[in-house]
Amino acid sequence: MHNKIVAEPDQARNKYLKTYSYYFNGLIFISEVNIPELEPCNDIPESAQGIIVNVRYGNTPRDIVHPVYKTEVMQASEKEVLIFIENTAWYYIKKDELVIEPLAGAEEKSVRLYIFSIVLGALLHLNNILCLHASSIQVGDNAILVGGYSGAGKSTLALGLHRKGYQVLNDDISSVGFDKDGSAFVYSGVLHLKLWNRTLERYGYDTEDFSKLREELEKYSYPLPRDRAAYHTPVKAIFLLGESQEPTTVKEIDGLEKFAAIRRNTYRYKLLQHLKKTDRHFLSAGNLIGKVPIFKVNRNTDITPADFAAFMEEQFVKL
Amino acid sequence: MKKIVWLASFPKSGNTWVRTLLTNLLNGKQEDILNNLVAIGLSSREVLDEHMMLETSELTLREIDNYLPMAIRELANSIKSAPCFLKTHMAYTFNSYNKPIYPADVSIGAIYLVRNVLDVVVSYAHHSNCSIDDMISLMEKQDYIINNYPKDIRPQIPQHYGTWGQHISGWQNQSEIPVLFIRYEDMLADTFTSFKKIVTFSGLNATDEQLVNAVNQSAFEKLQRQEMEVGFKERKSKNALFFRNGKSGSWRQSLTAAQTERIIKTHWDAMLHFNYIDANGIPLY
Repeated sequence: MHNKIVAEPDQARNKYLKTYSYYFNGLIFISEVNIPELEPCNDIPESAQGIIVNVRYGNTPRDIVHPVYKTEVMQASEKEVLIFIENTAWYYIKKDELVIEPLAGAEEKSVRLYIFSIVLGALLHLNNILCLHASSIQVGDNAILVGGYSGAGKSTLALGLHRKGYQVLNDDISSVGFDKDGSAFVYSGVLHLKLWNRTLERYGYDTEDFSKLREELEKYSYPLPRDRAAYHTPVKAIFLLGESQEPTTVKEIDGLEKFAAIRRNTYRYKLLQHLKKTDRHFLSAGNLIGKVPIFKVNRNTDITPADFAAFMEEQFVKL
Repeated sequence: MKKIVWLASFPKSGNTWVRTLLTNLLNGKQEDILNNLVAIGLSSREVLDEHMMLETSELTLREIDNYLPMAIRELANSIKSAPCFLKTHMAYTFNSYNKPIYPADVSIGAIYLVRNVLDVVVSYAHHSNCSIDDMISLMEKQDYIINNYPKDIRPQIPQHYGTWGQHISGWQNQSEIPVLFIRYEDMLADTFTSFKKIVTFSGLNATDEQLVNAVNQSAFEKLQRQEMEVGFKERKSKNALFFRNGKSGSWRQSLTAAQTERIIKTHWDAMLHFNYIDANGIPLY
């Protein structure tokens, strides 16, 4: 089932290998892997502190010693995570290290794609950074998080708002930190939106103008501008997307429902459980819900993406 | 450990009705039963992503099928008490490693609900907001897959259905998971007896009084009234009620003779096996 290893042995690596540095969801990647979807951090302000993670190609272990969790895709102990994606790569992850071992014939962009999802999730969990399944949009000086399961329409809404002039801070995963006074802020992340061809076509784009995320899928990378104003943006509100046959509604939730919503929208909460980090998550989630309102949005399934973006813009104005 | 009881069927074959019966039996005091049914769907992207630890939206159908047995095992591991009912419309198929997508080592059994394909065609066409001829064509396709990429994403993953007959024979031809076949028409004729078989097969304990109560609370008219009053979040089309008709034999008012003949010819073996036609192909329901 596992393909042949193609990465060069560690000892043979060229020590003069080019190194890149990227800012990514509160992490600073010092990387020998070129990841054009991430923000280079040559001119990052000092205020944008991050946890340094060394990223390199190399041979990963095939097993983790004493795993607390083990499947065909993932092994995890409290301090390390090993991920295997068939036809793609092995990823070995510690708090401050990511080793990638691509498999023979793997597409480079496929290998990178998992860095923006489960690999990022594992890195954030290992570093105790609250990690929500949400996109985030800059509205004024603040950030609005838009959460929901895959397919709920987070990225489509982000595109609609981007076209209205809003800056998209994150697609799909948003990591949240806290200032000394407990105020929540969101770190900025990947510089693209992952969009299906239907979404692009509905907005009048030609998919030939965009790069596919994987050759086998009709899902594309929509690049976002790099002129970021802020690395840490205060979180003003969270909207959680759902679907309905009824007219679109928005309702603020409170109390325990808020807490359950954060847990449900935590990216790979199950991994957090395996890493035995739920106590820490409980504190972060409690802090977040104490400061930030959460709204449930039941989006009518027939509303057009543009109309829904306009609807959400109206909600932002009301905050 | 075996924990899962599958509620398996082709769509519009009584799966939701059985879920309301089980919900009324197990959680009868809960408010808004209809929108809090037991047996989550296996096709839920949200559920599978969490247990697979991957984004199914970034996987091909082949890859999803390869990871499905693992995700189902992980789902079973997270279940505290057995039996846990899971709804599925996916056909019993094998992935590219030649492993069944339904892992037997965590499956107590499967309750397979069969409904006369002549009624299924009509009901499913209404449900899907498409013409009857289109639905007949879809249900003849051996590679019938719903929610398939590449265009768009739905909250449910892409799923192999195959033809109506293939869907049934997939479960008939395997021997790893015990299956109880229940005909929708038998449930209509004697709900109590069919439901008792389901409950016994699942290893649940219930008195006859509890079963009768659940049956009464799950009467079609009651479900339809609840849907009209409070809505049903699983309804696909805003125009048509999910609990629309529910009767057996209503195809006679909707299908032409040519359509009926075409359906019978296509699904002959399974229709004959479940006594929906006689040896001469004459419909019995």
